[in-house]
Amino acid sequence: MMRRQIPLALCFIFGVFMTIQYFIPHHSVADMQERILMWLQTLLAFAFLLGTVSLIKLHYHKIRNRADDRAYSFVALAGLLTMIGLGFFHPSHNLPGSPFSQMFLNVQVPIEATMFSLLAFYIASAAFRAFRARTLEATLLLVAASIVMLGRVPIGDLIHEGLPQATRWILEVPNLASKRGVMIGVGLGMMSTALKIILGIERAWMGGGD
Amino acid sequence: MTFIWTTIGALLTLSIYSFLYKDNPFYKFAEHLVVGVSAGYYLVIYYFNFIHPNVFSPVFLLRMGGEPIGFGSFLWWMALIPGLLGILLYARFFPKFAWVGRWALGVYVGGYAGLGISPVMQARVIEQLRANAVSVAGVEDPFAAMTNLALGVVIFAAMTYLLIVKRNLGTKNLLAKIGVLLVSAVMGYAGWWVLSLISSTGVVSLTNILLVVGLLGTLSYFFFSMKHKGLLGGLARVGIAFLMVGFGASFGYTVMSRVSLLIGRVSFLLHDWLHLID
Repeated sequence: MMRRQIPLALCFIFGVFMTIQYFIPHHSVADMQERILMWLQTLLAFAFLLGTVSLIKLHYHKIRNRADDRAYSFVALAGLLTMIGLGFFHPSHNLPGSPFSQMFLNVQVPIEATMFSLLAFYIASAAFRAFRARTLEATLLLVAASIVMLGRVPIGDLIHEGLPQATRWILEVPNLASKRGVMIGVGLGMMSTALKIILGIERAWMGGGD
Repeated sequence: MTFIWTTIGALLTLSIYSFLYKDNPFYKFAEHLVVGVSAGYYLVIYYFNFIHPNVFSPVFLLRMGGEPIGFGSFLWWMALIPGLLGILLYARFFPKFAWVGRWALGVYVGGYAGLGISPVMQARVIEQLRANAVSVAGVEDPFAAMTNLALGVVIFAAMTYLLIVKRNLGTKNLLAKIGVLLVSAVMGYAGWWVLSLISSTGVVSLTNILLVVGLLGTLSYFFFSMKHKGLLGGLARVGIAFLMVGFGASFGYTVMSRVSLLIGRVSFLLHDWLHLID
């Protein structure tokens, strides 16, 4: 009862309330909706804190067990503790130019941007191996990708002035039609999954065990 | 000081790019550093944006948004509840009481599931259908020429396929083959010309027809309650063609966005750090 029925009941009550509140134009319902939204955001913050505790545990165990790559665990923990120290104990951590924001701008932002830009190399090499015009469908994919890539850079305009226009046409006609179909399918899937969760049919979020 | 921060950013950028050669200690250092730094960054942001103003400040400092609140008042209880639910999440560290965390998860999962249903229905289903419920009467058709060209190519290909491959592939006579090819080319061009004429007179908008056919085809492809044969099978095949063009476009778009990021990083190294380019 306490282990499975109460969580399911809470899920149902909060799910039904958040669904029907859109259709009840009363200030008390709007206030409650705002309050619950604040609860959910706060829960997300607590969940993130939980993730950080797990991260600390993971690296602590690696260091304690003298794992081969424990030196990097020191690096991860040092980065984490530095940010926590600068964030919680520096009086103006949220101001531009503070050590906290400098760490974000000069450590986190460059590394993340570079990691994403690395994909330019791998995606290109993957395309070289995967793009073979063996069938009509593969040819369509290849042609569309080539036109869009060429049409969005200045050299495309130099090759042929119609390329940027063709790119726009591909993006706004066949691409839009297929994307709308996918979006509608995803939307219907999201709604049905949400309903299954609220009604207790989908219970994977509770995990295993009792 | 700025130069020191820029140098740190540049060295970390080079460390990440060193992975292009192979996995190495410089890459691993930068990788682990960003994990720790980003976890710490978001922890601080989440604490000061959500936990402190919504829980800590009202419950312990008895202030909400700068205004004083009473201990045990309605607002105090409303601030205490998410705090208690949040603490329940940590029960997973004690296996005997791990199930208590499900209460908080139930609130979170149910709340967001309910919150999403109406907006998803509105934005992803109704609005998309409304946007695609376009008139086939040619009112404004900026892509008429392009659409006609595409349809012309399709018609030409279809004619060639039907006339040559299906009917006359077996013919031995070279002249007959050339004749069939010429006839199919003329018929294809005539079809293209007729469509251009119809579109330019504003009778039908071929772009809008393509949008409707593309959407119906894509939806048919993802409709698994019936076997894909007959009309549904034909529509599904059309859907595959549209999907492939869509995937190709997405792929091209993604590649260009990554290349744009790459240009940004190279510009950072050569301009901001080394001042080699203007």
